[in-house]
Amino acid sequence: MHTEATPGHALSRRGLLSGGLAGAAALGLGACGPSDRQVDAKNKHEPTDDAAILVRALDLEHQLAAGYTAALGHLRPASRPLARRLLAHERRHASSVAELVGQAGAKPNPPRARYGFRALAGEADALSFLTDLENTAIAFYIDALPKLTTRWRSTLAAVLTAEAEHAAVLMGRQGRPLVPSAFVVGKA
Amino acid sequence: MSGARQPSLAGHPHAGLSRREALGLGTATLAAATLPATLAPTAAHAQAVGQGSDDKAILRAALAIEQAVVIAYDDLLARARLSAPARGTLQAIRAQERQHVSALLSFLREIGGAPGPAPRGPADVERDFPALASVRSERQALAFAIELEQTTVLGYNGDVSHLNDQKLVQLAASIMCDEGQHLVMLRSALGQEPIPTPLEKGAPPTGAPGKTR
Repeated sequence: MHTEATPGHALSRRGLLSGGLAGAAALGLGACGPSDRQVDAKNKHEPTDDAAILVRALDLEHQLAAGYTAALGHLRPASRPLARRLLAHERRHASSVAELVGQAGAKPNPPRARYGFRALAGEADALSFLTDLENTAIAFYIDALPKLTTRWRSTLAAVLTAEAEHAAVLMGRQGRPLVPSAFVVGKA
Repeated sequence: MSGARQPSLAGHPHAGLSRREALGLGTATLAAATLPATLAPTAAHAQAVGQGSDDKAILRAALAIEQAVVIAYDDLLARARLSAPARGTLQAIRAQERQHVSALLSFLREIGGAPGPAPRGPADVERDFPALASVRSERQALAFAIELEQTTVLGYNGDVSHLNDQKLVQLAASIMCDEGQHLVMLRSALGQEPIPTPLEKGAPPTGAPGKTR
């Protein structure tokens, strides 16, 4: 399955799926009993550095835009309109997140000069590369959302859902199932 | 169903809000709008969501919504004339919605909560999705399913802004993403642009047969 979390990830898709009916519990989502849960401060939102998380999110969005730009030249003509549409989405995400960074009292970080992407070899490789980038972003947002003060979450959730949709479209373009799992957690 | 029927948001603490504003508060509000008065989550639940302070209430409401969605897919599969590919798409999505129900129910029990009254059949679902009753064709079924999925995305987008438990936020977000991917499947099946907007926030039900936004 494509969207698989690493073992150390806060939410493991493998755990979610392994239990069937008790998927969430098997994951450790419900590892604590009710009384434990009530005193389990680890699972409660604690104030964090929102600006630092938002700056990281912005960097990821810049990276996604750079990734689509890098991949465009490796895609067949039929796939390029899709890639251009998704690139436009990533730029819009970057704009939206940059606004949040400013609201959080930080200066929006510009795109890096280089992202050190690996060399791409043709359409299949480029689509796989883009899918990986999207899954990295999904994993980041899934991990970051509960760490953020609630005021930032709705916008980032809308970005996250769009990235999941991007991943689905890209997987479909590769002839893979669009929706391989009932719980989308990305891949860190 | 023995409960007296009433307008979806009538008497609700957020009744003064627009439908989009109310749904943006999360699935607890949506559940209050979906279920008959005698089964709806209490006003206290909705108030808790508004305050972002009661994970159990939000989770119970999200569960009710997912249960309603499963019923809706059951009904679509039973009532609509579907091609094999469209039937397969709706069946695959329904199977994942059932997994959502299981995961939410499991989590609710783990935190010491109990599910509220579940929607019992299509009549309950039709209170907020009246178009269900008029679905006959494949296009209507797919368009109605888009409406369902958009509503769940909107609900979860609101929920993640109000939940406290970190793992519950992550579970809600992972389901929200799956609902977004369902939208891609359904829009593609209808020949629509699969991702029409860069920010997927979902949308409330239209109430109009076969219409999507």
